[in-house]
Amino acid sequence: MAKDAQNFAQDTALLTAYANGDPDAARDLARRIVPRILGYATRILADRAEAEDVAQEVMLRLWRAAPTWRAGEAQVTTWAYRVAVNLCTDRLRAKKRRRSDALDDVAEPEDGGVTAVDGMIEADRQAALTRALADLPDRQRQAVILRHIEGLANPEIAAILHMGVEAVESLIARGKRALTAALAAQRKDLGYEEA
Amino acid sequence: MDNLDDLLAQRAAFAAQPLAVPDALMARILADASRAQPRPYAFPATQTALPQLTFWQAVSDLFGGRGVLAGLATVACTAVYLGAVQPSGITAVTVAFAGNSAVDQLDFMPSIDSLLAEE
Repeated sequence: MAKDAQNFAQDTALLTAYANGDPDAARDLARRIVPRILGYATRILADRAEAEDVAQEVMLRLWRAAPTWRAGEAQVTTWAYRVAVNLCTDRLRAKKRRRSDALDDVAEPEDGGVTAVDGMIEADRQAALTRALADLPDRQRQAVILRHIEGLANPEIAAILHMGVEAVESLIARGKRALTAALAAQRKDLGYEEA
Repeated sequence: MDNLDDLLAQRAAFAAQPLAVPDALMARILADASRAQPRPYAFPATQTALPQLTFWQAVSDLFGGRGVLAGLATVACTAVYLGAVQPSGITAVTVAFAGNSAVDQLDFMPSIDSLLAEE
């Protein structure tokens, strides 16, 4: 918690320095924020090019918000995640509309984690998880990813998704149940022993 | 559910690894930052000295420029001329307004003694 508070203070200080004209502050702040936002957007959108566009747009909005930023009102990372969630949601909706318009456009989502996993079985399992995540409703997918992959706390997720902490817990629980059900249907194919 | 938690944990471990941000993306982001960054007000490095004015330049500036000063001078000279020469045409106009041939008897501030007199 102390480290989080320290990061929060550093992010805010860098943003203030940027707003005051410090030429190096933007680079330092971008190095802290962009990898997280890019990773999140990649996992949500399963499209690296689109994720890079989202990361750039998030940072552009942050630069524009810097002069009127009120220290203490919001954490910079929480704010950035919130913008990223909204941008990803818009892009997912647009993607679904395009898919419904052209049913043959059913690109398999890329799996950012497969290459790091040793063994074909683990790769298959991660690919199955990616597909199951992609099939979740948008809000459930965002909540599950923010909680279990990005490692954010429920109150922070609640702030990002503009909902109460209990609603976040419910969303995550429903998402995990749906994931469990999706993976259970493939237990044998994924090499899990029957219980 | 354990299987799911394991898979999510593996994915989280991968996500926790530093993600390499492409140089091109970082360059675009920093270009945006440079364009959007507020610029502190910069005073000019050298302040240009005010030009030294001559006496007549200062006087003409005081009256609003040479044109205005020339107009004022013309009007003043004309007024002096008319007062000194008193052309007959001008005198006729003065008599028509004042009802008196002597211009120097024109009473611009009539007395109010008659109004204050007791009945």
